[in-house]
Amino acid sequence: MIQLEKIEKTYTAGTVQTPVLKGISFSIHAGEYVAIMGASGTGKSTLMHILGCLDKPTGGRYRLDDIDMVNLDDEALSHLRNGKIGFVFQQFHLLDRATALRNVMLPLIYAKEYPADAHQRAEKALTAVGLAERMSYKPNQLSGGQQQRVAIARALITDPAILLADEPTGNLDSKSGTEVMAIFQRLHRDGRTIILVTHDRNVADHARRVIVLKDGQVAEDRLVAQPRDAESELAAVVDEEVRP
Amino acid sequence: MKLSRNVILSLEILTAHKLRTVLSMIGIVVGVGAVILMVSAGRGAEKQILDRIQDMGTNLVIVSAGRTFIIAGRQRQMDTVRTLLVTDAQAIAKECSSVALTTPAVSKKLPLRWEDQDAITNVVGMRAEGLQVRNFSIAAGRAFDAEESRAAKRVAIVGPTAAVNLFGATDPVGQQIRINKVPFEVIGVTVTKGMDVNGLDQDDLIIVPLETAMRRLLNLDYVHTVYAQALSSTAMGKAEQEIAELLRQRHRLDDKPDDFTIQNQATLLATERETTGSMTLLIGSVAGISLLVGGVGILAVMLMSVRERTEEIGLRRALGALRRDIRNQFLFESGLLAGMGGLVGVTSGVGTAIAVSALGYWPMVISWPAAAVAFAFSVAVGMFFGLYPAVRAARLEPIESLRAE
Repeated sequence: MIQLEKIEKTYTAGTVQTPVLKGISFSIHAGEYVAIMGASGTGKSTLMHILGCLDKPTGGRYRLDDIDMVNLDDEALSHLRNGKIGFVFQQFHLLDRATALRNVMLPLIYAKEYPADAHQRAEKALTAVGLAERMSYKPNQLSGGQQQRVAIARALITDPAILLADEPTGNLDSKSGTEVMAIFQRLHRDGRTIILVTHDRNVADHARRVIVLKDGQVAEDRLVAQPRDAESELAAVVDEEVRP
Repeated sequence: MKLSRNVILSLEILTAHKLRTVLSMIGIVVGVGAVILMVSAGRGAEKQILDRIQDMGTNLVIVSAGRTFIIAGRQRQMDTVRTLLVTDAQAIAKECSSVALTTPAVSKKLPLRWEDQDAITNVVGMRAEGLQVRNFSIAAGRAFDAEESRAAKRVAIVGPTAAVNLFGATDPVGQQIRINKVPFEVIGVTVTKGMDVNGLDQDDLIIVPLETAMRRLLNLDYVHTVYAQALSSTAMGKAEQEIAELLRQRHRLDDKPDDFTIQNQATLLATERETTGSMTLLIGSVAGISLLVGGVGILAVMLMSVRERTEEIGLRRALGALRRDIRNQFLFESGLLAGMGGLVGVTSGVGTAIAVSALGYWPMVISWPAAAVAFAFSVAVGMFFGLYPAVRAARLEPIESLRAE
């Protein structure tokens, strides 16, 4: 599904060159649930931007779904983002003037073919994240966790090849964060390919595989023997709340 | 992207910023409203002048004795000329093929007396058919006929203004009056015509038979004016030419200059149009400038909007929007903004025009084509001034935009 070969990214400001990614190679197969970890300044965000086709590497090859994105122009990259990638951001990035339903439908506006059942698809996506009752609410009428779930529904409405989440729990309290993790694990079980970018080990441990970046290079690439189970963690939280 | 997919969202965003949307629209509203108002006023004035000119008579050609000059915008006659005769009028009616009817006419301001009331008014002597040529209708009583004219009967038809001045509330018909001490019987009252082109009251007059005026009142053997009615509006030029040739021949002018002046409604109209037209153009361009200023308002609001919605632009780009999608969206929004302003402007402009007209302040003729043009122009202004902010929005890089808070 994803092949990175010696990806490099160097920022140039005047005569000063700052290498951020120094030859990153790994592959991610369909249906994997991968966490990309690293402290800030390790090139984690830059890598995420490249994976999300928002930025181009200055060296190396990146193939997404057998498409070599390095040679694509701005317009083709836009189409690629629209069709292949579902974004979930730390700051949710919802349009605060629009209802949850309109927010979820937003990616379809830019699809090559606007589906006739756009409305029903958005309703289905919102129902899948447990917001069937809140479709006509605006973001400011929703809690942080609910807003992030709207964002997840928006990411999934185009049925993308990969779900790319950048610190999805960063702005949430731990219970809402765990709820989001539970949704990701459920999506993973249904066969969705997920890439989760985080600095938080506790969050990363929900994935099946962890890639650790250090100083612009892959420092560690391991499978998680015993991933944390968000569902049971949630159940425990609920138990605690119930018990006096 | 098809813009139509995004329309509801754009509308939601514009209506969410109510105050700002309204503020940015004001310039356009005022501009469009002013354009419509000014054009309506200009056309109203033109129509009024046209009506007044037509009130003077349909397809009217006016032959005045002597040469006339335009002095300080008014027509003046320089000297008394005794060469225009009743027989000239008859010859014109007979020999000019483009002329349907003629009436010779004389006029002079004379004192009137009824019981103990005095007044001074313009006494006009003309033939019975002159009433038709000059578009005078009878509101009460009757007109005099050709027989009464020939017999120089002392009968008079009064205009409404002269009637009020002399008789007050009394019914004028059947009253005995004295014109320049000569007794007359009032037999009719004309229908109100209002002011003429020069702002003179066309209703302040008394009409008597031509022969009566010439023999009993003024002691003249020549006339001041011959009114001729052309066969049709297109025949007026030809009629003028025929009359001029005939009169030069009858007056044996050879190489001398004309001793008469010919005017028609078309020439009167052209002069008046020129004045009102340049006025309309002047005020119209001022209104057009306010439309442009309205466009600058839109420019400011759209620049602000792009800046404020940087995050939204980044998000849309991340979700797959092309640069041109972003540009088109902002162009559409500024066009929509200006279009809404234009619509409100058309409504308020037309509304004000109707109100001003209904209250009688100024005659207004609403021009729907002008309204359509003003509306289209407002949309064009919106798109033009929206172009720069839209291009700026499209140039934004998605990553940096998403980071902007």
